[in-house]
Amino acid sequence: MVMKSPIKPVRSPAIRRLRIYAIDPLIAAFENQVVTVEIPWEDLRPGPVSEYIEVIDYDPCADKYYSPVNLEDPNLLAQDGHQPSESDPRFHQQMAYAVVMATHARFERALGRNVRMHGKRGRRIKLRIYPHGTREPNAFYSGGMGALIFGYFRASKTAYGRNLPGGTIFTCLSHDVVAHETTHGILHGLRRRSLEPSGPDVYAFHEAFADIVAILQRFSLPGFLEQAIQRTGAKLDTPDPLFDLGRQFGEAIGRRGALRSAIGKDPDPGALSGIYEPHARGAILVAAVFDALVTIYKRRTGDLLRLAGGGTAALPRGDLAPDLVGRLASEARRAAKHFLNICIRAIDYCPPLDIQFGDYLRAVITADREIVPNDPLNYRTAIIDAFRKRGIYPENVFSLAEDSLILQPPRGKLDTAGFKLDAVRFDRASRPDTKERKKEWNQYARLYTALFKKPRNIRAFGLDRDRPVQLASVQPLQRISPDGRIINELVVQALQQGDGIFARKEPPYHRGGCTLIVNQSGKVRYCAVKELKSAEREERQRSFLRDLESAGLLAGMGSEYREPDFRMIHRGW
Amino acid sequence: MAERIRIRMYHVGFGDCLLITFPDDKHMLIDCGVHLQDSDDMIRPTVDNIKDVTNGRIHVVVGTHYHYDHICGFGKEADTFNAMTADEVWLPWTVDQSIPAVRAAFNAEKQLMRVLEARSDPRLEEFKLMAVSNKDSLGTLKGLWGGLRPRLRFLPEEEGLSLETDSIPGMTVQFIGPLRDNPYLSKGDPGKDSYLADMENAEQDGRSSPFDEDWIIRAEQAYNQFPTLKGKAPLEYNDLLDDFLSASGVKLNNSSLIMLIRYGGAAMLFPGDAEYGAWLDAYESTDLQAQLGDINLLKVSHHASYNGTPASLIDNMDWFVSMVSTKTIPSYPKIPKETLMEELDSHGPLIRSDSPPTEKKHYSKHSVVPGDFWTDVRLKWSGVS
Repeated sequence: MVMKSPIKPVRSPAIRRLRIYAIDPLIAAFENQVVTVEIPWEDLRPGPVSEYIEVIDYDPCADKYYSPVNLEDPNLLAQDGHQPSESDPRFHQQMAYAVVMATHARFERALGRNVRMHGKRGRRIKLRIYPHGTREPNAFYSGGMGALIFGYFRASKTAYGRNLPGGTIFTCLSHDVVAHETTHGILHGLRRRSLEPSGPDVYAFHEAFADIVAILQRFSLPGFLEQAIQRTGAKLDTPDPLFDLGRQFGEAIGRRGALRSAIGKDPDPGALSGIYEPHARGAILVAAVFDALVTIYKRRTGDLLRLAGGGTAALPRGDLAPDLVGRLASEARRAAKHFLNICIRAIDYCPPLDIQFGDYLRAVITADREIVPNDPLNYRTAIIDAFRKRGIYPENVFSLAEDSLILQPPRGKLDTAGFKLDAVRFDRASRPDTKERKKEWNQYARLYTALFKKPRNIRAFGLDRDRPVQLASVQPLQRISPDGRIINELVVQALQQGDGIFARKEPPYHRGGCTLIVNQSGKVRYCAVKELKSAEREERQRSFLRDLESAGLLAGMGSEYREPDFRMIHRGW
Repeated sequence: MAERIRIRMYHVGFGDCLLITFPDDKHMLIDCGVHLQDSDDMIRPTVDNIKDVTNGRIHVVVGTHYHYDHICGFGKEADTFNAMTADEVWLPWTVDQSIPAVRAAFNAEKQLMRVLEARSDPRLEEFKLMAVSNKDSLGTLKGLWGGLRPRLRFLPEEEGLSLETDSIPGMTVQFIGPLRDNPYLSKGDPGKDSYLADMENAEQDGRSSPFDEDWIIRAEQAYNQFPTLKGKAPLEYNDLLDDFLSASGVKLNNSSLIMLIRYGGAAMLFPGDAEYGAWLDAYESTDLQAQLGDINLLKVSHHASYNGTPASLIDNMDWFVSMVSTKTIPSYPKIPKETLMEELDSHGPLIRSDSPPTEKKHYSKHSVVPGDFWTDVRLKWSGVS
């Protein structure tokens, strides 16, 4: 007879706490060297291997495997993971895992749904993470491999920051680098075709977006903003501390001299016309978002500073009161959190491919108005203003007023008979079985028929009637209405394929497509389109490909055109 | 009496070797090479045949670019070539070392070679053959022919894109590329010396691990732990050098001499190994597009790779003979591109060295004559041009 155990099981905790380095191996910018981050709990196997990712510590340059970390070990659970150490590869695995999952959680929270990783041809995959995947000063996301690859290298012999000259530097120990690369991977999953090199804004946007997420996420590290504000307390009536942090971030990533020169400097409305290198161009977008963030920070903290100054413009000399520092930091953190949410949610409102900075501006404004229709702190004005000052305009809008920037519904009358929102499940199992998957596909088929099998709709969406329409993805979008109800909507992405650029039937192809936001009753509320039949777009893509090829960024002799990864781009080639 | 030009394409394998014979027995040799991975058995008989056919005198010798598969023959059979005479040798300006940018590119290559040497990289030998130190072949080209120094010309010359020469009277050559003001080609120096320096730094470590031995586990243990690895290493040793080598290959191809040769009523396009970028330059900066309709023979670029021949090129051409010197070798399994072959075939006779024609065929404007290890195309036209 089997005895029932008298010990009752305990439910899994909601979070897992793990220690990470807060200093960057590339620059020592933070006095508190170790912080503990909280990430959603999931059961882990040694690696760590989870439902979403697997960390495999293979070092191809040494042809060695390193012992995987077992984060479920009670000894580690009791002390928030391994003690930070540069010489223990298990800590490297732990840190890579922690930062990847923290970033991933940020996306799931902002989007309100499961965010899956996608690999080649849009297949759902476990994202591979190689903490020591290459021996060079580089880290990159590769869509083809479905992997994040972090490099390590010898620091230069001449002293470099706080690093040991000639010592080994590991990019997987940099919070910013890991968060940046993870963002590339997640964005690729959300917008599978958005990485196709169709214009100078494409890579620049990806770089900028990854930087924005990484910077804003760093702001949320416990104690980070407090220290920064305390350190520069004397200048607190200016936004300098935040700008400083942004610039330091640029330095930490090492190769980004661009951020340093863009953030907090006088904006140049003509900058975009002459800068094409992805990081330099992306820095302009990062600077715009940063500028808006600082404007909001100033609005949020004006009252605090007035109180602290006792009616004078100046703050008292000496150290700031910890209370004041705490309040200022929490305001900055809140503003950063809002921005991060908007920036991530905006992705849902972007066209499925060929994203230009202007498209992103429209998406940000639309996403924000959907969540906060009345905008009491004038976030949107601040954003529009910061973008305008840097010459970032969307194509084909009448003015830069909020109303013109909001995405438009499709042109003309639609026929959406047969559309049923409840036909699409919102709680999709992360790993559906065959039966469920079949059901899912049937639902997609119905949705496809209701929306895309009608010439009138195709025309209204701005799609090309002579080419087949491919349903690229259907995602739930949830938001709270002004009167507090939860509203379910759908983000539907459709793609169309045109002729090849090099040869008619060979990749890379010219593509078009649209993103639709559809509400419960089948009304298409917004449509962000990239028309296939656009000579201007085609020309832009052609000349851009040419530049890429000349720089040797396209595949070499005789090989198939391949999905470019970030390896070369991150080297700044 | 009808005039004729004979274009002889030798079946060298993955490489190029073409001999054009103009009326009055004037000869032009375009490239002579075969890929390292391909057997080179055919180079010797090819060169012997060239000697026989030309009676030991070539009027113009052209090296379109200095890739091994285009010029190695000049090194391998240096003795035979040295015994022949040449009136002129044509090379792209991108190998003219009196130009500072070219020198810089050559220096960058040398630096790369040092890195390859430091790590005893197996690719060193191949790279050496492709690179500047391919002295054997370039030496023959630039050296003495029959004890005499031919006129060495780096093309297109500063004076202009069009050229007529006394060596082959009646022939006009328009150079479509490489253009002298091409900003990309002048970027031969990657300007990333620091990266190469980093590489050298890393090489001192060889393949040692940055971690203590205690942390290393055996591969079998890892395969056991991670079934998704399916028992093999997930990453290959891939580094800057791979990408640099591949990028420099594209750059070299795009620096190919692209020649539009007119003689009488014939117009022939010989693009070397031009890839996509070079064609776009040509479209933008020359009147090539306006002349495409005239062309009656195309040497298909780059062994019929995926991006050697833009669709728009073929679209705007009329009826023409295409000659493809190609073969599938392990490095380039996707060459030749069959979809490209189909398109070429729909525009006129397609002659491929990997499946050469076996019978003589006569058409109204040309005939195709198979040889022992070559195929001849004879272009003919009547009357004055």
